[in-house]
Amino acid sequence: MDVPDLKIYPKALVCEESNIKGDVIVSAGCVIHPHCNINAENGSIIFGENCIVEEYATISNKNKSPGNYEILYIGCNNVFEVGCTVEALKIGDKNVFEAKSIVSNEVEISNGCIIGAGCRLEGKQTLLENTVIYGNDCLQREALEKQGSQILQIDYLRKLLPNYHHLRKSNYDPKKIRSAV
Amino acid sequence: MANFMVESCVKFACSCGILNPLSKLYFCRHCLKIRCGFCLCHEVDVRFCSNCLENIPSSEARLNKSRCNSCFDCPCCHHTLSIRATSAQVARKSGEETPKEGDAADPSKVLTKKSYYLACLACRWSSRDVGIPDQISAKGAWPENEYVYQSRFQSILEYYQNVVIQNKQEKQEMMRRKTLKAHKFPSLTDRTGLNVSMIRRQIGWPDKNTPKITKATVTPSKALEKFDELPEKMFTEKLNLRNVTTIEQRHGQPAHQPFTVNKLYPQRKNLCIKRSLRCRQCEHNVIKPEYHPGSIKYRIQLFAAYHVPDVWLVSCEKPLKAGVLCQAVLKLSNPTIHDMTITIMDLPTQDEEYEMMEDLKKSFEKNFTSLITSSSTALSTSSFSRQTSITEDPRLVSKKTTADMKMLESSFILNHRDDSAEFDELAENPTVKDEHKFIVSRKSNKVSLKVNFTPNGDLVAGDEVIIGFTMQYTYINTVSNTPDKKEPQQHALTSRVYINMGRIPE
Amino acid sequence: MPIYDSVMQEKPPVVLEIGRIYTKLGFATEATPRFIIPTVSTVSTTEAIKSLFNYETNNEFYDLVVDFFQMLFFKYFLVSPKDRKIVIVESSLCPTIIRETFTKALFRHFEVSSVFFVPLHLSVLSTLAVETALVVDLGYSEGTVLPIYSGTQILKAFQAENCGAQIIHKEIKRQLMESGVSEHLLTEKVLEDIKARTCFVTTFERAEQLRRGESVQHPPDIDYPVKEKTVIVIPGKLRETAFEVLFSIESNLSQMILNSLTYCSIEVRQELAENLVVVGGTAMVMGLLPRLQSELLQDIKFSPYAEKLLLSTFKIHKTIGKANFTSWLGGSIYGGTDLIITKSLTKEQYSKISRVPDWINLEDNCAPAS
Repeated sequence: MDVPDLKIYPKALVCEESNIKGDVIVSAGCVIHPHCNINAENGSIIFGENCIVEEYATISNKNKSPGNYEILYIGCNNVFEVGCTVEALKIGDKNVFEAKSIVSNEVEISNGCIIGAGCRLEGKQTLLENTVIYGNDCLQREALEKQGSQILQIDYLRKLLPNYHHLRKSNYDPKKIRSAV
Repeated sequence: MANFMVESCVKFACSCGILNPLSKLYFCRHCLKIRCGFCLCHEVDVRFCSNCLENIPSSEARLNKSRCNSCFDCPCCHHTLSIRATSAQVARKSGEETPKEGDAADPSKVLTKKSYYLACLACRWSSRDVGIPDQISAKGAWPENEYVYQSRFQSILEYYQNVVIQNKQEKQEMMRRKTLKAHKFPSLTDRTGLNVSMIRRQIGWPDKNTPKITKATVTPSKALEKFDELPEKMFTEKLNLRNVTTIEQRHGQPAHQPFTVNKLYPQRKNLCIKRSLRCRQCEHNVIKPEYHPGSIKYRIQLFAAYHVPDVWLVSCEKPLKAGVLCQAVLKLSNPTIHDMTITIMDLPTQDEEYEMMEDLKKSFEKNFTSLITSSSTALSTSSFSRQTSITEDPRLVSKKTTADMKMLESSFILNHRDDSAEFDELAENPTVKDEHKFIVSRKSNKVSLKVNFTPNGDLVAGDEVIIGFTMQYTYINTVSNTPDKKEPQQHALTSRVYINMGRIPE
Repeated sequence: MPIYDSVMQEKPPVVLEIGRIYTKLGFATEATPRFIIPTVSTVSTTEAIKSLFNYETNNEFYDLVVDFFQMLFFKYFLVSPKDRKIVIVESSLCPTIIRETFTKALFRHFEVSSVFFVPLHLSVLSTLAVETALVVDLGYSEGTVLPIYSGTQILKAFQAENCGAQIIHKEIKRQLMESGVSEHLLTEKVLEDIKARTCFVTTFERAEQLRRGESVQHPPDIDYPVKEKTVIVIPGKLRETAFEVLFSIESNLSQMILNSLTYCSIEVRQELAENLVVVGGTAMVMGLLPRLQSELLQDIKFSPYAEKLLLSTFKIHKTIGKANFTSWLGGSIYGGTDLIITKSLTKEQYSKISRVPDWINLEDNCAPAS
């Protein structure tokens, strides 16, 4: 299962069993769990640093206009929890997509947002910074308190995951390329 | 009991006339009648907090307005808040206190101070959002939001309490003056106005009459002529919808009902209860839960499913046609440890049903009179509140049968439940020699029977076909409520069963 | 008050105000209700959630009421209803069927010891400690006006119009649908939320300008996410004008008050006009009171009120606590006094007559034939 367009930076952790299609760049510090779906067949997806993509999370670039080739930029420190479906146009930094949440393809996510477990987000909109979506009715509120960082979790996963899963080798090192040039 | 969550097609009529599946019914073994949630008396048994599972006695619950002392609900999404700990490094002030032995080793003179705050895991609200300072202890004294009008309300309440008492005293005074003293002999002092108090006053003794309550006063509210106009920014500034509370959030704290989210404070968690159910007729408990909040067991559990034979619809000949004889297989099972003799009979007619309702009403009244006579005669009837016999009226069964069922010609025996037999493969069913024709099969405590029924001729497509019958069964009561009879008594009980066979197809 | 302490400590009476949409509930002598909950009942047989007053037959209503009270006692009050005293705050003109059904359920099903009906408008006065006031109650389906003089309700001056939340919700819906929002998004809950969070009553001057058709700089629009589905724009005009229906020709709050005053005798009008109280959930909206006052002062200048009423000032009381539970608070005060013992309908009385004595019933309202 070789994906030609997958670029993995050093220090990124991508499990062998992950399901990645299309042109995807995984930056340093990311952790991609097994059995997640990353679909970049319609357009490439770029992960920023220190993102976590958990099991059964589906991230796809659903850009429908083929002429306008758009890239799905995902910022740093995002967490995609188990079973979430994210098709957003753009994702900023420090967002959390909780388990089973669904974000449709007309939404732009800024920074520090939390899409609560099981919440849906549809319709054309841009989420303001630090928005929390929660509850049955998908109510919105503004988080005043800054979210804790994911570094501890990432460190833990970096230790644990290699013990139980085969990993993909990092195949792209900007430093090496630069030195080669 | 497999169909606990789904709507069952077999329903039993409670003695009050409401239909329920057997799993929702109870059995009072003192009246030997089926009871349902509607005709039982519900009582609050134990109060507890659903989060910390602490048992809270009623006096304490009243004191705390039936809220938990240590658990909080999120004011934003009403989820339970959890207490989170953080540790902050605090530089010790130099001249504050003499360093203790352990601290002396600490060269940087830095203390790690643990502090606690409340956070909601559902909507990520935290007590820091509204500026509540972190607490030093986990059970910290979280600030209560003071209610501004509390003292005003208290003074008004006291004023009215006084007014009412005063009125009452004045009325009594009036009555006393109005009623002529019915002395047998005219009293000289009365006529001359030289009554006791007068004499006392002449002698110089203090007045014996209790002093009147001083007239209570309260400042009445003043109506205002000037009001705060709407702030100008209302018309110009953009409203941030995320800062405005929803109606549910406002009603979550009725005293304050804040308009903006920065005034949402954590709410003490509301308690939960366990209830006990009591038969209204004999006043015996039907359900009594265990005292401990963590336990889901019962001290008394008289579910009907443990006492009344259950009926299942196994199969039914399809399609159902109006006016055409149909066959169905029913399965009966015996939950008790005694053999039952079962007779399937016709449902009571409407007149009989009315009669049953009358009987039920009468039995209530009889019960009350017996209660009164048995209680000591010193209790005057008016003060004995139980004497007033107003209770729920029994009802007619709301479902009408839409098919005519052929009754079985004879009664049959339903074997008792034997849990050990289920594991014993060798134990053969004792074959009953003269097995009735309508019995399809028998297995341990279950019997399958064939029944024939004819859906009414006037049914049209889409109508439900409902058959009904009265099932008479023998029940052996092991706990007798009369102490002199030790022997278990056998009773013939009946219950009305309604089965929905399905709809007439289009 | 040693007597009260002992009585209250035993079993504090339960006070209920069952509104069309929200029910206020708590215990007597407490300064705020414990809960404000939607007046909906979960039908025990089908588990369906239904509005309490949305019934077809009387029997169905009875069952809904039983299920509703069951929920109140075992989910909110957490006390056994048996042998408890109940205070219900209700309009004096509450339909007999509602009152009868409540009483029947409470006595027959829950075996309470007594029920005390407190007239809603009268109870408001006790929270202010005044004897005379003109009480305006703005609920969901209607707004009612009842003047009270020296503690006596002037029933002939009672006024009711659909000045309630319902008509405002309708107006919001109409305006939003005009601006192209599809109807299925605008459920009653969404409309209520829009009303409570974004709308307000504008000032008198701006309203005059709007009435004359002059263009006014409306407040900013708001993006409003409707659940997860979509985001709609709430125009600033809607925010400002949604409540204008309360001052329109069809249902006019100030004219309703003035009409009521004209039915009162001339001696009491001045005092009533200087003692207005506005209660009910709809009264909580920002800017209502100053606007109402300006409207009253404006309407009084014109016919037919100018000739009939010679009033120049209107004063409005500030309620203690929030306006949506003021009448409940009155019930809490009534339930905290000795009246709960003397004026209640007890179980014994009810078992004899099997109905609620009511002022409207001649049997209770006539002097006994001697």
